[in-house]
This record gives sequence, C-alpha cells and structure tokens, in this order.
Amino acid sequence: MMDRPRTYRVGWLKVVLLLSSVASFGMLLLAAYQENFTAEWRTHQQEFAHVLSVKATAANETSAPAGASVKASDYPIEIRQAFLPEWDKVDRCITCHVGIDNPAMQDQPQPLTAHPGDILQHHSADRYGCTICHQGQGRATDKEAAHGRVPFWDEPLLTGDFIQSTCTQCHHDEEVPQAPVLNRGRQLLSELGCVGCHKTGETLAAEKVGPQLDSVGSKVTRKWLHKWLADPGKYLPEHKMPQYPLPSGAIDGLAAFLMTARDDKIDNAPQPKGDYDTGADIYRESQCIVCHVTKLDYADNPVGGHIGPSLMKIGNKINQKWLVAFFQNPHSFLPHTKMPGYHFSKKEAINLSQFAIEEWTDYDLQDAEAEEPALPTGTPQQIALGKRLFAELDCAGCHELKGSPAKRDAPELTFIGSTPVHQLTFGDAKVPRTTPDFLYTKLKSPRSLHHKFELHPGEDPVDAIWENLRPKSLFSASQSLPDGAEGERLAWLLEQAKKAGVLEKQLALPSGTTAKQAHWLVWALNEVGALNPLKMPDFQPSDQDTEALAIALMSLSEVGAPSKRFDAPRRSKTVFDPKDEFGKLERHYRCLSCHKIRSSGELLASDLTYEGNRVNREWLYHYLNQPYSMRRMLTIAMPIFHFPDEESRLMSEYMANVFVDSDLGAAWKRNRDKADAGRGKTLFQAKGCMACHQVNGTGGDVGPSLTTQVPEFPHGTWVGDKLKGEWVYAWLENPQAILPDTIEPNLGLSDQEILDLTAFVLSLKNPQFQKKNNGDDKNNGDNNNGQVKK
Amino acid sequence: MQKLAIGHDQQSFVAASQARGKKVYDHYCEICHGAEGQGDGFNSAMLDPPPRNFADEAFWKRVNDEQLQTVISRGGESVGKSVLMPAWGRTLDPSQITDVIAFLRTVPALAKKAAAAEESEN
Ligand code: HEC
Repeated sequence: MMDRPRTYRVGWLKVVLLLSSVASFGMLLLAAYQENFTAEWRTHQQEFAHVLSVKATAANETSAPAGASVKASDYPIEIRQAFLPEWDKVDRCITCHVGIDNPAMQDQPQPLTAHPGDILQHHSADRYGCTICHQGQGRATDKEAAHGRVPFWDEPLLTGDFIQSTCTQCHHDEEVPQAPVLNRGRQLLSELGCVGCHKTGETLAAEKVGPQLDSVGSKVTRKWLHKWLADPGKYLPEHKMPQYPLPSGAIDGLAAFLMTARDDKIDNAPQPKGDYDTGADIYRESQCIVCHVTKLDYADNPVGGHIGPSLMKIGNKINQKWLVAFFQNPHSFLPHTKMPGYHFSKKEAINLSQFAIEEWTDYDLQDAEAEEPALPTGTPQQIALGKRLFAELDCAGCHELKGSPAKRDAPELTFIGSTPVHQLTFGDAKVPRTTPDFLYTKLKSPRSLHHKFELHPGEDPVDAIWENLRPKSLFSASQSLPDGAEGERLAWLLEQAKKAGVLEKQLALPSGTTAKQAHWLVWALNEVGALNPLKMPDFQPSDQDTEALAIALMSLSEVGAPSKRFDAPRRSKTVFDPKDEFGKLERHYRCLSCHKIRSSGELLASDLTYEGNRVNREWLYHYLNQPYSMRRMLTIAMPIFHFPDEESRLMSEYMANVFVDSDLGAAWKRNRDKADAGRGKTLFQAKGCMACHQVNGTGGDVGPSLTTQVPEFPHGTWVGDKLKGEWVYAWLENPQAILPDTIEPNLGLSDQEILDLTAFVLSLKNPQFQKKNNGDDKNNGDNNNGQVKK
Repeated sequence: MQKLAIGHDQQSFVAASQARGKKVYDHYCEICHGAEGQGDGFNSAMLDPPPRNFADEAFWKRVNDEQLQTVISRGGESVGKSVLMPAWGRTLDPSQITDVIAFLRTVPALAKKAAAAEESEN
C-alpha cells in the first residue's frame, strides 16, 4: 500500500525528466544545425564559392585554358583564421571576409570584397592578421561581436582614418608612410602646443609655441591685451592662441600682471620717427610677405605667407619702440622663431617700424577705440591675482616668462590611446563609449565631457560651491569664506561671483528656503561653466583637425609589436645642425625656414643638400650678394640680406665644399675631355630638347630657358654661367633621381651623348659677361676649383 | 588562404585605369597636349608640328594600343614622327603607359560631351 503512491510520483517525475531531456536535446540539435548549416559566415562562404565559379565560367568562355573551371562544390566551407602566436592573436575575420586577398573580388560587396589598395602586399595577412591594424574581436565569428561593437570590448573596429592610429606599433618614424592624417595630427600636437601642458613620453622638452612674454608690457597696449585675452579671434581670425573661458575679473588680473613685464631699455628709448618710403623699400627687400600676410587683394583676400602671424593690424596693438628693438634682434624676443635675423641698423629698424605702423593699422578700429574709456591701471591685488592665474592655467606651457616656470601638470597622454574605456570620463555627454569618440569630443568641445556639479545631501552647500568655483585663483585661493547664517553666506557667494564677472550684475537670490537658493546658485554657476574644473582651453579645431588630433592621440598607446622583428625600417634622418661658423650664420639667418638641407628644413625654396654640386661658387657668391627671382612665374624671392662680404664668401665656400656628394656626376669629372660641345649642339636638336627649353629665344616653355639674362644682375645668368658640369651630367643621366616629380623625361642617353650635351649646355654662357670671367673659364668652362675672387 | 585569382570585372578595372591615367596625363602630358587632350597645351604654340589632338577620330582609326605603347615609350622619332614628342619609357613604367592610353581613349567622348553641353547652353 505504501509503495503505490511513491511509484506513481516517480513515474510522473520521469515523464517531466523525459520531456525536458527531449526538449534540451532538440535545442542542442537546433543549435548544432544552426552552427553547422545556417551560420552567417557559411552563407557568406557559399556565396563566395558561387561567385568564384561564375567568374571561372566567364573566364573559360573568353580566354582561360580548358579545364580551369571551378565548381562551387569544390570550395570548402570552413572556419578560416590567421594564427599569430607572437601577437597572441587569432583572427577569424577571413571566415567572412574570404575574398580579402583575391584581386578578382574587387567588384564584390562586403564582406566578400578584396582589400583595397596594395597594403596587403606589404602586410601579408598570415604575418599581420587583421585586428593588429583594424582592431575588433578577432576570435568572434558573428558580425557584431567580431566588429567589437559589444559591451566590454574596448577595441571596436576602427573606422575611417582612425585605422592610421595603429601604424605606430611598428612604424616608429616621425612620418609614417601612407598615414597622412596621423602625420598631420602629430604635427598639430606640437604646433598647437598640446605638449606644453601634457606630457606625452617625449624625452626633450618641447619648444614653446607662443611668444616669450618678458617684455610684453612694453610691446602692446593694455587695451589690446584685454581684448586679446577675452577673444583673440576678434583681433586675428586665424590666431593660434586657444580660448580660455575667463570671467572679466580674471582678464583684468592677467592683463594687469602681464603689463608689469617690461623692459626699461625700450620704455626709456626716445620715441622714434622714421621715414615711411625708406621703410617700404626695406620691407620689399626683406620679403616679409613670404611668411606674413601683409596686404589684401582686390577682393579683400589676405595675401602673403602663413608661417608668421598676419601683420594686417599690428599698428593697433604694438608700441613702435618695441618694434624697433625687435627688428634689430628678433631672436632675443622669440628664440625659436622661423624669422631670420636681418642686419638692420637702428636707423633702418626705425624706418621699417614707421612703415609697419602706418601701413598695418586699421584706422577705423583705431578711431573707435579712441572713443572708449581708458582702462584704469592694475591694482596690486589684480597683479597678484594675475600671477596666480598665470600659474593656475599654466600659461607658461606655451609662453616663456621669467619667474613663472611651466608646471606641465595636465593629465599625461603618453598612453591615452590604450587607456581602458571605463577610466575615461564621459560625464553626461551623449556619445558612444569608445576611445575615438572620447578623444574626438574632448578635443572638439572640451567642456562637454563633464558631470554637472551637483550638491550632495549632507554637505554644506556654501562650502561645496566655494571650493569648486573656478578659476580657483579668483575665489578660494584669494580669500576665505566668512562665517554667518546660511542665507547671508549664499548672498556673499553671489556677490563674489558678480564681482569677478562670472555672473551678471543684476542677478539676485530668489526668495524661499536657503536650499532653494543654493540650488538656484548652482544652476546659475553651472550655466556659465564656473563649476567646471577643466583647465584645458578651447582650441576650436576644425572637424578635420579634430579627427587628425584624435588619431594622433589614439596612436599614443601602450600596445606595441611583440618584438623588434616587426619594426619597420627607420628611414635615416640626418639633421643638419653644424656647430661651425656656417652653423652660426644659419641660426642667425634661419636658412632652414625656407630651404632644405639633408632632412632638415622646409621646401619653400630650393633644396641645398647638393648645392655645391649644382652651381659654381662664383655665381653663388654673386647670387648671395644680390639674389634674384629664379623663375619669372614665382612671386616670392629670396630676401636681400645684405650679407657682409666675408659672410657671403664664407657661405659660398662652405656650400661649394660641404654641400656636395662626390659621386654625383663623377663621370663628367673623369671624362670631360672626351666631350664635344659641337656634337652636343646637334644632339640638342636631335633629341628634341628644344621642345621644352629655349635657347636664344627659340624653343618650348616647359622647363627653364637656358639663356635667360636677369637684367638687374651684374653677372651672367645663362645656364653655363651658373650650373656645374657634374650636376648637368647627373641630371641628364636620370632627372627623376634628383627630383622625383620632375617632368623632364629620362631619355636614356648614352654616356657619350650625355658628355656632349653637358659640354653644349655649359657652353651657353652670356657673352656679355665673358671677358670678366675669362680667367676661370678653362676648357669646358666648368668652374670647379677656382676660389671666389673679389 | 585559398587563392583563386580568375576573371576580372572589366568595367571597374578599366575605370580605375582611366582615372590613374588621367593623373599621369595631367602631370606629364597636359603642358603640350592640353587640359582636354585637344593638342592645345600651354607649350603647344612653340611646337611645329603641333602636339597630337586626341579628340580627332581619324587618329583613333589609324592607331592601336601597341603603336601607342611604342610612340609613348620610345618617342615620336621611333615611329617616324617629330622628336618634339619625347620618349617616356624610362620615366613612366609600363603600367602607367597602359593607364595613360586608357585615358587617352576617353578623350573623343569627353570632347563630344563638352561640345554638346556647350551647344545646349547657346
Ligand atoms: C614637349 C611637348 C610634349 C609632351 C610633354 C608630350 N607630347 Fe605627345 N606629342 C607632342 C608632339 C609635338 C606630337 C606630334 C608629333 C608629330 O605629329 O610628329 C605628339 C604626339 C603624340 C602622340 C601621337 C603620335 C602619333 O602617332 O601621331 C601621342 C600618342 C602622344 N603624343 C602621347 C603623349 C603622352 C601620353 C604624353 C605624356 C606622357 C605626351 N605625349 C607628352 C609633344 C608632346
């Protein structure tokens, strides 16, 4: 009797067990079926197999040899992966992206398409896989997970140009080939002065990007300084200084403090009065326009270079006495400037300053400013406040100022690109929680990634507000909170905020409880950003620059190649910075601001690395004394520096001896006596050289004329007066080896033809100047060894 | 990874080649043959015979790709034409010459289109 119910119960449980077993088994079967027959990647591979066989049939029908056809069923459907033990990576991306290394798949849509460009030729998929460059979750085989767009995967697939941020794992050169946006971003990081406040793991302290301020009080007017600090864009739309959201009290303080940075010598100098016209001549000779905007064209567009600041309104801000001192020795004011040192005498500096002030003043603005009330001079309290602010905001990150060293205490960025996402502060911003999004938003709008200040229950609201009011120097660092009833203290806080220019003068606390008043005050202060602790200024970068900067920051990552074996070969970079006499002259005239020498300098003007092979020193010496525009198409020219004779002599000697490669055109030096200018002349016609070059007025106009005389130059400027045989020889042998982009075709001339043509080209000397040069002009007229004559 | 490189999609490959060819053309040839390939480049006034006008249908009836390869890589002289047409075979690589030919072949159609557009404007 006792057994029956028990048996009954067991039987019932058994049924449940059986049913659930069947259900689980069914689910397993279903999962097995899905995994093995309907997975996303299988569909892709089946389609791929189909495309392959269609393409094979098409190829067969046209030209492929018989039997080359591929049957779709021949293609194995399986998980494919790149296994990279050294990198600790298994990339299954090729399970879906099956056509990635098959150029025939270029016309297919994702995921079957081939990899664009020729990147895979240098980064084979079996050596580098996919996620090393693209990021994402290599082991996953369904799309969302593989692309890493799932919770807790910190490295989602990089999109667009962000992929360039991973190049730096192996490419350690300053410039990464084929990563233009990354390169631009890195350049911006130093140009904008980011490294002035943030450490980025560099070994050398960066040059400060802003002007040195030791004599700023003697340089600019107080009014201008005020306006500049409040809104630099108003004075100079393309300014470099980022904007700080500063209340008027802070600006008063900073201006008062900076006006105390004076230079007595300048202040006590007599007020100069120069001659505008003479100044204008100096301006033209000095070629200021190469680097500065100095005029507007008929449509009011700025004309001039962007290496230095626009000069269009300097008359409105600058003290002429300072300008005179600056012109005489710019490097003592701006040690790292690209501006050359000119040899201006005091008189010349005065004349140039007269021209500058008269020419570059906005007279409407000047009249309008004359109407405004004069600013009271700074009080001692304001000066002290300005000094504290200068330190708090770390202005010294960009500006040198005696007695105010830089702190560089902004968050370190050395590994910002690999910081775990949960450690980044997104605040209340509505952006996806990824590192690229964080960086982009932070740069574009620094104050948006921030939790709004809130009062917490239990804390004293007045204390909390007072402690968090920014800039600190204006508030809690300058005085302490008085005691009293809560309502009184709140009113006192509001008063302070109004005095500092943080809140509008007409505001008053609402009536009601002190809690309500405190909330109102927090709201009002939040509205103007006064409770935001961020010190970073707003650079207002364009979308493009923001992306470039974000990419450069992404590349600052702790993640790197597992072994040096993967390092891309470094391109050798030979910096030109000699410590000799020439080096001294270079640092004074700053030749590298325009010219390239080896890997240093800029290509605004010619590359001087092989100048000693190129031109003969006699010509060079005369040219340095009186530079002329090389091509009539160019509007800019080398400034006339009025080099003292010993300097032009030294520089031309130095370039002739040092800026040479003895192998360049060496065959000319060996075989010049076998050259025949007469045969060369015939070849010049036969090879069609005159299609592009003029000789005595006939011929094409693609390359330079070979017989141009620059009228104002008192020496020959024909090609034979100027170039050396070794250079002409090397050029004719292979023009692209010297100038990769030149359109002069490589004609594949024989050695003898090159010799003869070189001799002919060198024989093209301006006969007008031949008598003078007769002495140096031996056989083929190649002036190789003669010393420069007076 | 399995490699089965067979069959090209003709159209996209030709278009890519033409686009690359235009870049080559603009850099090396435009100065004589003109921006639209009509033989009227900046330097053409200095040349006698003048540079070839590629919009000319008769020219395309006369030449094939092989001949074009020859004249572009070995210069006008190599086919009994003027030396004023330089040899580019050591400056451009063979694929660049193929590309530039692909581009040159588009010139007559481009010229017609431009002419039609002008007409409809008038
Ligand atoms: C210096 C001027 C110049 C340049 C640069 C130049 N050409 Fe020519 N080209 C000519 C001249 C002139 C002719 C006509 C030759 C003749 O008709 O004898 C010509 C003719 C041609 C012809 C026609 C040959 C024939 O069979 O009639 C082709 C094709 C051609 N050029 C292609 C090119 C290409 C491609 C480039 C650029 C890589 C180029 N040219 C650059 C001057 C130039």
